[in-house]
Amino acid sequence: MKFCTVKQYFDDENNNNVTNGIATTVIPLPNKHLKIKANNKEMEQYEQELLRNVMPQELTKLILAANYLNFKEALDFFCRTVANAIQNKSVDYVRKFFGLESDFEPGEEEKLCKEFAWSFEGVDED
Amino acid sequence: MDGSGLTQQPKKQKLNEERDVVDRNIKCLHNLPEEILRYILSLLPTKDAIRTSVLCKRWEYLWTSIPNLDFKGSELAKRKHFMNFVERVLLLRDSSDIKKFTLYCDVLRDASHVSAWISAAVRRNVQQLYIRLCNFREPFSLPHSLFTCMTLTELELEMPCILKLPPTICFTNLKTLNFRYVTFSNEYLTQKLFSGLPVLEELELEYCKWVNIKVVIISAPKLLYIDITEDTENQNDEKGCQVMISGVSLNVFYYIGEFYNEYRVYNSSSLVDASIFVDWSLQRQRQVAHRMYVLLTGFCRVKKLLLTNSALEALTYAEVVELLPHLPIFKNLEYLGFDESLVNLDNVALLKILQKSPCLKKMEFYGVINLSSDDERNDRILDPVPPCFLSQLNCIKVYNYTGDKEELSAVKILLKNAVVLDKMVITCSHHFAKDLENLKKVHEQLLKLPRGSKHCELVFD
Repeated sequence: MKFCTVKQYFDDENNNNVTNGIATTVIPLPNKHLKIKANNKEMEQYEQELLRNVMPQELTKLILAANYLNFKEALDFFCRTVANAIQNKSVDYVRKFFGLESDFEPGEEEKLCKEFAWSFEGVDED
Repeated sequence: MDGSGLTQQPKKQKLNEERDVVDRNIKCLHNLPEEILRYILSLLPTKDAIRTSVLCKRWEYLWTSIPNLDFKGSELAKRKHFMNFVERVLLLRDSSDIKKFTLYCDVLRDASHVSAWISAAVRRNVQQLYIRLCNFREPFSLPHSLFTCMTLTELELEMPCILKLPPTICFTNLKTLNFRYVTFSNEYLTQKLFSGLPVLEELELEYCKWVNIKVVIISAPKLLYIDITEDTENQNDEKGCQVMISGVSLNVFYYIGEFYNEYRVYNSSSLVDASIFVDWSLQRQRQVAHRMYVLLTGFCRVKKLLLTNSALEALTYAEVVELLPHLPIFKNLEYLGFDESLVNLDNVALLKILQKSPCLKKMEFYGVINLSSDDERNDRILDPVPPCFLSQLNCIKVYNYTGDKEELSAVKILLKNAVVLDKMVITCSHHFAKDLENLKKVHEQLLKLPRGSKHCELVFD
């Protein structure tokens, strides 16, 4: 764990990026990560748990915290969790997940869907 | 993805101010810095990454720098959509480097498109290229630029058609090369190809054909591993091609086939592990026998040798049997193994190899071992007893044991003559092991056999 960055973060009072709550999730991660590293199945379960208990917004904070603390393994893990969560999901589902709203003109979206038609086949139902 | 802290002041990141009026107290995932969003996209399968262009305007081109692209078009029914998709994606993708590019497709009459796509990947400094093409309805050529691509480290090419080679070939950084179903037809250029692989470590040639090529020398100075699976249908001329492999760094040699071509490994002092899984039909025994012998002579330094019973049988062909005493001594051979075929312990070639392997420590038979149940005759088979039996052989494993007479004879002779044996492991075939009564009888029978080695343990697995 990069102790100097952590110390710096705690000292930096202007930093609203990482709340104390998040720090308690992110910082113990290296130990958990090391323990689970060898066992993919457990990592998958941990990921499932994380997705169930943690709302996308919280995930945002986790990612930003990991990024700020320069904790590459955690950043990678959380990003993969997001990727796995939206894999093969419908456009609406992914929009909700990211908190986005479509701002395309009517017809623009259809045009794009047509151009990339092949990638829309076999997507999970909502 | 550069792991250094991307931002010290996340609040001042690229945030859409209007959207923030709503989101101010809720940090939505879309507010993540663009680099992180791009990283997440790079972790998705290509299909999913590209679909995000429909989410909203800001995301329309976010995917265009993803480093890995994989296009696996499997169903012919959806082919039109697939081809349009690939064309569009490559058109829109930015000029940043592509790390891994995968393209599986039916070519039909789109040879020029497919070639252009591969060209596009090469232009973007691709490192790992996996191409599987089929269904050619017109002549197809790979782009010339592929053959001088400096960034390529891994190439897999599955292409059941003639490989048209350009005049200049140099794979400066290629470490892994895999050709499948490819037909080599120009002797001069094919030789150029196999001489222009300065850092190649792994080479796989699966079901490739050599047409109108008499000799080819594969001379890659750093080659560690070679795996050749020959086509089972002979589409070559009678003699096939003579494939000479320079093994200056070679550690592992793996072959499956029927010797429609001849293979020879020279300078093979670093070769440690060799597997020859050969099969053959009666009318070809002479050719197979000679080729088997030639190949085996290049393996005198191996530590581990795996053979099929057919490999041994081939060597018993008349003319070649006479050459067997001239086989080199396998002075480093410690392990000799056989695949699931049935091995006769009185096979002349096997006995000769055993005689010439003074350091053999372990033998493993994945199939059945047999010996006729004539005890008197059997005593003469291991006479003289191979030196390794007297001083080195400490472990023999037999799988698929079913306890019949011939198998028992084989085990008997081994137990009797391997005088420094630590353990003999006998595993009954799965089916046989279900009958517990019978299993017990068989075990008792084996335990009664005289053991040449006082401390030998009989293990039943």
